[in-house]
Amino acid sequence: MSNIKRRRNFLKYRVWVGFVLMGAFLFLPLSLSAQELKRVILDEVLSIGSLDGDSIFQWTGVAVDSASNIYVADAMDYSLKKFSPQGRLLKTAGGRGQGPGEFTAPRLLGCSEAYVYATDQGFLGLHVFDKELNFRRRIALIIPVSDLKVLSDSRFAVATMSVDSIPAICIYDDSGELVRKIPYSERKMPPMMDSVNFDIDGEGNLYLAYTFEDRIEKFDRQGNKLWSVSLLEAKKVKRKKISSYVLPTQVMYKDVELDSHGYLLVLGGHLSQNRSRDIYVLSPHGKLLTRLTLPDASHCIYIDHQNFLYSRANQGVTLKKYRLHYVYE
Amino acid sequence: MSMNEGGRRGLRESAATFSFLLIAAGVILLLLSSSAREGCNRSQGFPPENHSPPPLLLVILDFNSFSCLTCLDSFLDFHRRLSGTEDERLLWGILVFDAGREKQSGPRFIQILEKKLNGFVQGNRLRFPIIIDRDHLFSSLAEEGSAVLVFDPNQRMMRKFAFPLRSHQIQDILRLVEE
Repeated sequence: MSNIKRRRNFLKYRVWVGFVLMGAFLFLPLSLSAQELKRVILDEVLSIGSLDGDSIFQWTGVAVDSASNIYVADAMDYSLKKFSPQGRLLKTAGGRGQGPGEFTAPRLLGCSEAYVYATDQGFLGLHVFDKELNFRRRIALIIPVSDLKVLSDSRFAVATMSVDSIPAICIYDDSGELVRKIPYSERKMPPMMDSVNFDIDGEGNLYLAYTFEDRIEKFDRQGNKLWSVSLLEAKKVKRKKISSYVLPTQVMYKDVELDSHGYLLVLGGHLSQNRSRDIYVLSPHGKLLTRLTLPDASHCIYIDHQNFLYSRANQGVTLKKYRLHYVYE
Repeated sequence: MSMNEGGRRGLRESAATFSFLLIAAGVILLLLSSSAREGCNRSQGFPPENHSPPPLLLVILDFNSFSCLTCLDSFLDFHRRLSGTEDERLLWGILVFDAGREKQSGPRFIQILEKKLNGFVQGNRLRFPIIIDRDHLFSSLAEEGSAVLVFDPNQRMMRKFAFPLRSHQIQDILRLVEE
C-alpha cells in the first residue's frame, strides 16, 4: 500500500472517530435529560438548634444568601437570626414590639443580594434588614401576606389573603409600588380557599399550590393557565363554621419550591400519607415523578441557590439542611 | 396490665403528685411571704393590718391560643400592669398542651415544650414562675384556651377570665387582688 493511500485511510479513520465523539458530546446530555427521575434521596448535611441550646426556639421562616449564610425568623423570641454556613449563630436582631426592626409575630423570610425581607403577622408589609441584620426600612402593603418570594433587590412577589377581590400574585418594587398582578382565578373564592404558596421560575412562570384545595397549577408570565393537577384524589379538607364564615381546619399543601433542575417540590399537609412530611416531586409539565418523605413534620420547605433543601424538625426547635440526590431511570 | 404499663402509670401518678406538691408549695410560700410581710410591719412598729392572706393568680397558658395576637397582646398587657407591683408575686403560670400531640410526638415532646417556653419567657421578659402541666391536671380549666384564674386564700376559684382580656377585665382582676 502506498503512503498516500495509507494517509487517506488514516484521515478517513480520524474523521469517523471525530463524528462519533461529536455525536456522543451532542447527544449524551440529551439522552440524560430524557431519563426520567425515579427517586430523590435526602442526605442531611447540617442541623441547627438542639433541644439543649438556645439558638432557635421555634423557627417560622428561613432564607439563605448567596454566601450560604442562613437567616431564621424565630417566633418565640420575636427575633431574626443569622447563622454561618456551618450553623454558628452570628447575630440576633429584632425583639418584641412595634418599633423599627421589632416584631409581634415574625413569619416569612426572603433574601436578595443586599437585603433580608421579613413579614410580621402583626404588620401589613415587610421589614427590610441588611445582611448584618441592621434594620433599614419598612415597606407598607395594604393586604396581609401569605407567601413571599424575593425576586431581586428591587422586586418581590407576594401571595395575599383577601376576601373581597380576585385572587392574584402581586409583584412590588422596593418602595411598595405594585408593578404587576398575576390573577390566578377568574372569580372570588370562599374565605381563605384562595390561599396559595407559590414559586416563580427564571422565565417568569408561576407555580401555585393551594393551601386548602387539592390543586397544583402553572401559569405563564401573562397569566395564562398552563396546567392544573390534583395529587391526592381531589380530597377535601375539613371545614368548620366560625362566626359567620365556614373556614378550613386542615391544610392540603403547605409549601412549594422549585429546585435548580426545574422540578417542582410540593410539601403535603394533613391529608398526605405521611402528614406534613411528604414532598411530591413534579416535572415542569406537571407530571408527578416521585415522592420523598422528610424525617420530621415541617410547615415549610426552602431550597437555596445551591439546591440544598431546608425543613423543620423537633417542631421548629431545629432547622435541617439536606443535600438532594437525584436518581434517574 | 403489663409491667411496663403499670410502671408508666406509677410514674404518671408520682409526677401528678409532684405537680400538686409544687403548686401547693407555691401557695404556701405565697402565704408565708405575706405573713412575713405582716410580721415585718409589726416589727417595724406599724399597727397590725387586719387582712387575710392574699389570693393567688393562676395564668393558664396555651401556646395554641397565642396564635391569636389579640390574646397574646392582652396577656402581655396584663403582665405589664402587674410588673413591679406587690401583686406580681401572686402570679403563677401553668402551661397546658394537647395530650394528643404529646402522644404523637413521643418522648421529646416535653423537652421541646420546655425549650419553647424558655424562648417565650425570654422573648416576653416574663418574671413569674411557669410550670408545665405534664399530667393535664389543669386541662379542664383550659378548655377555652388561655385564661387567668383568681383563687381566694382558701384556694377556691373566685373568677375565671378567658383570653383575650379586655382592659376592664384586667382592672377587675387587679381589684380582686387588692381586695
